[in-house]
Amino acid sequence: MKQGERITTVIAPLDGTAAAMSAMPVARTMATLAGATLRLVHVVEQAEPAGRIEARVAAGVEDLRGAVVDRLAGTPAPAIVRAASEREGTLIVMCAYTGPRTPPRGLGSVAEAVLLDGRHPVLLVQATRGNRPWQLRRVLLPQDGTPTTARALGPSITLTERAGAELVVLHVAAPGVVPSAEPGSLGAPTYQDQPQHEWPAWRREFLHRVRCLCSLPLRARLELALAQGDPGAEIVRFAAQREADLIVMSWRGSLEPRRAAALKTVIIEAPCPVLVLPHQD
Amino acid sequence: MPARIIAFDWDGTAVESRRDDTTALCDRLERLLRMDVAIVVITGTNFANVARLLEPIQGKRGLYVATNRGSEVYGFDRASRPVLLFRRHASPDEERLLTEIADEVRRTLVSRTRLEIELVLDRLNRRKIDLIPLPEWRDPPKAAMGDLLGAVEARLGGAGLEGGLGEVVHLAEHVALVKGLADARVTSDVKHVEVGLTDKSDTIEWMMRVLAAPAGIPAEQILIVGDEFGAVGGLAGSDSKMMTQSAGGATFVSVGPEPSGVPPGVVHLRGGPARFLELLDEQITAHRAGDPLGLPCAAPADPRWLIVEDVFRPVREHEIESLFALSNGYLGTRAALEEDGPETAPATFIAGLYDVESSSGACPQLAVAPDWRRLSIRIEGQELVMDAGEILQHERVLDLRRGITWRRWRHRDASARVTRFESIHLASLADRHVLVQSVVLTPENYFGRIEIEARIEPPVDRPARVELVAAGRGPRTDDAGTPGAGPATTVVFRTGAGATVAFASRGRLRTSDGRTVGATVTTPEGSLRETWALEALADQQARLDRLVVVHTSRDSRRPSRAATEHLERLASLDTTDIVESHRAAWEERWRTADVEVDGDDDAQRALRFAGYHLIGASNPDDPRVSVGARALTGPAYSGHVFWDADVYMLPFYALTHPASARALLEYRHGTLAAARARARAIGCRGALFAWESADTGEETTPGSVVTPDGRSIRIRSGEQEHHISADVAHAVWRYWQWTGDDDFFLEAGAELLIETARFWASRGGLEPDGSLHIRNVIGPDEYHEDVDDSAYTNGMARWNLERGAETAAILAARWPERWRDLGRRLELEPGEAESWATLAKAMYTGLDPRTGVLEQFRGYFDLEEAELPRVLPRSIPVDMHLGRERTQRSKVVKQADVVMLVHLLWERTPAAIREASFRYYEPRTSHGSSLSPSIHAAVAARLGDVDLALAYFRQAAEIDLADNMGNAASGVHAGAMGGLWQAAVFGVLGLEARADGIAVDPKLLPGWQRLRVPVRWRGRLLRVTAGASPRTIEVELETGEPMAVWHGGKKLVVGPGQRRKEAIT
Repeated sequence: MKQGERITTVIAPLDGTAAAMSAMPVARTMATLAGATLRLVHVVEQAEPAGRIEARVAAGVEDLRGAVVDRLAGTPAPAIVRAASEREGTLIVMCAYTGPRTPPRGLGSVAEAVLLDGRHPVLLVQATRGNRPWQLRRVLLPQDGTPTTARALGPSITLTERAGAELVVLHVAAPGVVPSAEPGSLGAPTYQDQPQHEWPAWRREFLHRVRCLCSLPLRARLELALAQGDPGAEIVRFAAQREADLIVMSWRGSLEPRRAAALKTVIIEAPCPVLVLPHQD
Repeated sequence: MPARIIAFDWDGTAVESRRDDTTALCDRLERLLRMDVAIVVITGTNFANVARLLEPIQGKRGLYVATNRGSEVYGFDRASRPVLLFRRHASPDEERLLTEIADEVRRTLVSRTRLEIELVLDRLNRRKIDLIPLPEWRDPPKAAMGDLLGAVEARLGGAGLEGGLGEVVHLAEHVALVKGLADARVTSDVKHVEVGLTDKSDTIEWMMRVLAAPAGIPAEQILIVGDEFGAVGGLAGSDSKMMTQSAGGATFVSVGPEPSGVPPGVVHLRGGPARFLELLDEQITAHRAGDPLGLPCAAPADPRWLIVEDVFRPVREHEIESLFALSNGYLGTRAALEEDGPETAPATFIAGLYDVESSSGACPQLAVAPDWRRLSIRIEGQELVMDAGEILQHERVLDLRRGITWRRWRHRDASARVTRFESIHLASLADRHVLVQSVVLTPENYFGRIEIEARIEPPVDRPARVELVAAGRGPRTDDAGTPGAGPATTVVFRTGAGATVAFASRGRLRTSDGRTVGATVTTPEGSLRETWALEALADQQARLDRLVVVHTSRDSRRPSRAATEHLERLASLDTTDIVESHRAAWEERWRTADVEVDGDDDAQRALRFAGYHLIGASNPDDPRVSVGARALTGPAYSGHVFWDADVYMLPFYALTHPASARALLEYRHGTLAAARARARAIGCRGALFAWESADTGEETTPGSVVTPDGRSIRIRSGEQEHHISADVAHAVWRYWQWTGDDDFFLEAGAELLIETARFWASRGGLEPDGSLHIRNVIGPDEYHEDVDDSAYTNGMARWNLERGAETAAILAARWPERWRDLGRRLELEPGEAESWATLAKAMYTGLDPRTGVLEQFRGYFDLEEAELPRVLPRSIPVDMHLGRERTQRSKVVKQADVVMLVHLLWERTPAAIREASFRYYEPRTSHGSSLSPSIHAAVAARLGDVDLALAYFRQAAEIDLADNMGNAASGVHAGAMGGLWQAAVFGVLGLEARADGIAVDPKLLPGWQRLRVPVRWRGRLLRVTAGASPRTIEVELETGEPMAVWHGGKKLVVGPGQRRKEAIT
């Protein structure tokens, strides 16, 4: 999704399992906030005889009210990506996995394939959250201080801001890790001469850069928190402590070993849905 | 093509004869010099003969006179006094050979022709053989060259030397070869044949090496003019020597008659000096022609004086705004983009203008005044902004030498219209209330309506800062002024406390076809808007010049009127005049402040960057303000004044511009009442200065801060960092010792020294061990709070007590009446001042006699060993990583502490203690302050550890320039800049300014070939130059009484105008 682009469609893939329905409250809320069309996508391996859709996707009629329902034939992940690519400004909201057991990386094969396609923001919902209503009151925005990460927030942050949600930027400083060499990066300060002046100044500058890069209006209030330790673990801990409703993670597009360590941890352990935003380098 | 260097032959090219009126010539040369064109005069004669004719030129910087046929080059210092830059020294053998060759040639000629042939032997590095020593040809003008040649040839030919002049030249070359003078230069001006060691090619080589190469000037931008490139009498013309290989690509022009034509590659104009004058006019026009309505000053060229930012990254804008900020001590303006935008944080800060946020418990902070540079440009209704359309070129340049910022921006908008935008801004150093904005707009490929709106409006409300608000428009809009100028309009803003600030503004828009466009002025909601609209033609330029004048209620009772009247007084001046006076003011400040480094361009640029911001930070005319931690460049530290001003910055001012230093100390004197009250509040006597001070001198240190990890930290420096009082005293003493300003000493200095000494006498306590102890303090290492017997605090307090006692003794002896008055006023008790010397002797020092290391505070040696290697590279502050309590239990030192004491009291500290203490603390120091690396650089250099010193020097130099501490966005680090200057001057040069002269002990850093430092000392201006290879020290006293300079145990006495140079063994 590009800077300045609006979310016009929210796609919720449903595979007929109850677990997949966990994404529905989140998808509906996001569609409402964005003023977007909610599009339920049910993918079947081959054409099936007609029948009531609600039965096939294990949903109630209430769940489907106001939604566009697509029945697509083919392999699920490519079909979902194709559906998402038909329109600009698509957000995919789906369950991280719908099988009975937690997969090793916390992602089912369909979710992982959709994610690796890398073109669309994907909001992953834990199967365990069930059908409880979902509200967007507090959003956690982990930021490593690089412009790329901040820029990736793009329109999603505007959306959450529109919801009136509290936006908490979290920077996790990992001791021993060399700061990014990306121009314009601003990590945690390596020193605090007079902390009574330096901390407020750093806080303002860090938030200014985030705000500037993701085009967040000045009226939106941003809070900044600093933690130190393993970034993934700290994000999860902080999200739980602050009862975040959503974690927004920027992602460089790889799930290879030794890459995206923080994201992998967050996907497995997050106490709330996780919005994954691929970078637009 | 406009040339950046113009080199020319003198006789026959620039003047007909030495009796010419050179007024017109000097006028052209001076105008070119102002355009930053280097001028090189090349002559065979001596300096005095030419200098007399160049006298009308006022500003001679950039003018070079190469004399004695390439053997010497003179330049001019900032006061336009000549300085010998180069001289070829002949060896005794060479001197002997030159004379022998001339004699031999003369003997041969006389024996063959029986003619009278004379020798001229007293010229530098050459001997002249006069072939026609007849009265009528004593001093032939250039115009008579043809006749002269005929007469010489006739004389020689008639006497049997049929080869004539050419044969004499060949004879001289042959004799030189036989005599063994390699590379003899045989030339002729027809009357003479000269045998020498140098010729004009040596001057050209010097010019290419010393002027062109360092400034990055290619040969293509050099113009070389002469009148004798072609052959004369069968010999190559003397000016052809200027066509060296290294100057290949330069433009060679002859204005001489050139009867034999000119060599290939030379443009032959003819016309002599009159044509040369026209050529200079063409150059002046060419410099302007590149930009017919160009900015009111020439673009800077020398990269060693420039900070260039040619990439636009929105997230770095705050940082750029700080680095490129314009300040003149009265106010400072961040270099925000004129058109504003979400990425900018524009602000103007006026020294001493503090305000308090409405929230309770808030501390005063420098109020944010309007950004007077704000412009809105609309092209066919579309706003010209960076983030709409395409940036084709964007470059910003900070001209450190002239205190001017430049911006060049080419932009293609969504409709493919290309606009070129160029601007300069300055905050006048000559008239501190005056600000200048000049913008040239060029629509490159379109015709259309352009609207330019200049705005002075209340600053946007942003968190954690306090902005001025509109106070209603000023009393009048004055339409009087120069024809075509816009109206002078005043707008007034105010602080919450009621102080007012008036901005008076006048703009003038002109187009390159001579039109002047009138402005429409509106004042919506307490702001001022001046709008100009024009129907632009493609490629036609429009230049907007704005003068803005600022006055506050701190300066006058009616700032609005003062601003308007001030602007009116400028009405008769052109913008270029104001720019020129500003430039001259900077030139004068650099004359006494420019530290020159050869061999390390990064260090050179960093020192000039530091000098630029330090010069811009102080106002010698306002004793009510000092320099805050981030000067006037950003909101961080709230504009509060710390010890940085007294121990980091003051030495720079005291040794380069004493009036600025005095103002800083008068500020402290003006806050004595608050300092006395503060001492009383903790049960002490005397004066305890605020750790953080604003306008009144009351303590303004915030009591706590909430960190981003949610912890609330108590800030104790405001309660315990008492060393500030000794720091102030140290600054006072240094200033007085270095300047000899007895007037200040009597009016303020002595009182400060006595009141601070009195504070320490009451702050410390004599304990049963017989020692004076100072408990519950924080030293410079703020990681360790509430410590006892801080080595720094005790050491400085002891020094302060001694100086207090000494001050009393000096006053009693030299000014007994003043002493009595002061004693009465301060209610000094009998014997009180004398007791301070006794207390000083009893001060606990913390010296470990076994190791020679001063213990940083009581119990420091028992702390856990530092863990710096494990926590580096750092991603968070050390104290945050380890935790506050653990940091306090460890030996990790935040910044130079004992090392700072060694640095400040160097001459009082035994060598073994300096070395041992530095080696002990240096590896334990985390440099958690911008103030730390520079002092480590200084001390390492003084100890001779030049590799370590260079590493620290680089770290200090990059604090702002590379933002290596990540916080330049909120303002530059003024204290660190003072520290960098100290590292070069006290560290690398090893300068000690004493009461009886100065001492130097240079330890040049790796790669540094030469370090040259100007020093103002007791009414004198001297320049000290240390050379690396061979190791030399040179001292030149420009002005003032004779003085002593010590180095290596030797004493040099140098008199006014004298230069002494010695080898260092």
